[in-house]
Amino acid sequence: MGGETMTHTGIKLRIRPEYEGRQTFKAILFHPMEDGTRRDPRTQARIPANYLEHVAVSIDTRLCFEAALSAEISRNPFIAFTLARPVMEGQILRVSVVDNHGRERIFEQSIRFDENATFFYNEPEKDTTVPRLAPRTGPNCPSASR
Amino acid sequence: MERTSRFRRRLLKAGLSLPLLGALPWRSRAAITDNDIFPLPNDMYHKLYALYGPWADDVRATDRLELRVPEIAENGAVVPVSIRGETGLVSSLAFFSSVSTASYVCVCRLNEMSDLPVSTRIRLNKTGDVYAIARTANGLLGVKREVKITIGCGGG
Repeated sequence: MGGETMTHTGIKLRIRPEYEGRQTFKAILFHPMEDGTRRDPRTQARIPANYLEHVAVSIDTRLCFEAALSAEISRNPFIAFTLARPVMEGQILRVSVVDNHGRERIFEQSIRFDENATFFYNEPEKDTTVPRLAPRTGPNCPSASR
Repeated sequence: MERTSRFRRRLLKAGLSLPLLGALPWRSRAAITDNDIFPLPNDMYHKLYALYGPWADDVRATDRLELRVPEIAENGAVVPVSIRGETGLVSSLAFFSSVSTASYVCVCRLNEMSDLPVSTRIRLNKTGDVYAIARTANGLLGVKREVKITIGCGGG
């Protein structure tokens, strides 16, 4: 993919037995998911599209789950699925995300379960300087006061 | 004598063509026992065709999949969508929404290591339908649910 890596993407994921005793993979990818139609409320400048396009989860280099995302996925996309085969301690979990500029970021971690048979992996956002913008609203709609 | 042989020849021809009829493609399509045709909005057929090709011609409604969305969502920016169903049924899953402009919302590919309860969170800027189309070994299955957005535009 592109030589430049994404600056502001983090991940928080968890694998634990949940649905009918099978392990569930749940991940939040920290990303603004800009679809390119929003404007900065102060400067009225168009915010360029910047969203994750592809997420791939593999275990020990075997592809396990793959998703093509669009800008219609909400900010900080959440992805969950069930693992058909249990993952073992010591296997390498690899999550690769690619954004619409073709920049790739790979999160890799060896699986370690704690006493509740849960595996946590948290990699914070690298760049926290991304400004938090007003919530999305329609053209004729006053923004909800929440 | 000549008449009987001609009759016999015709009979032979008919007998030959009968098993051939059974090999026609409509037979394999009729093997999908899943209920009724799933009605697709016109633009979604094209979106679906871009993903699955001619499979998009035959989408069936099903009760083997359950699409879980909130009936009323307070915040259209984060609408949780979850789909449950039989183990090992689905190989690919596409989410669409009737209010979206993109060609798809999310397309997930499952293999022998991943399985169904799949969930994500999508954006719906107004009240609309959420569609999930699943590709199975026998064809496409569709489920649809409406989500009402109460805050923001177009809420009811």
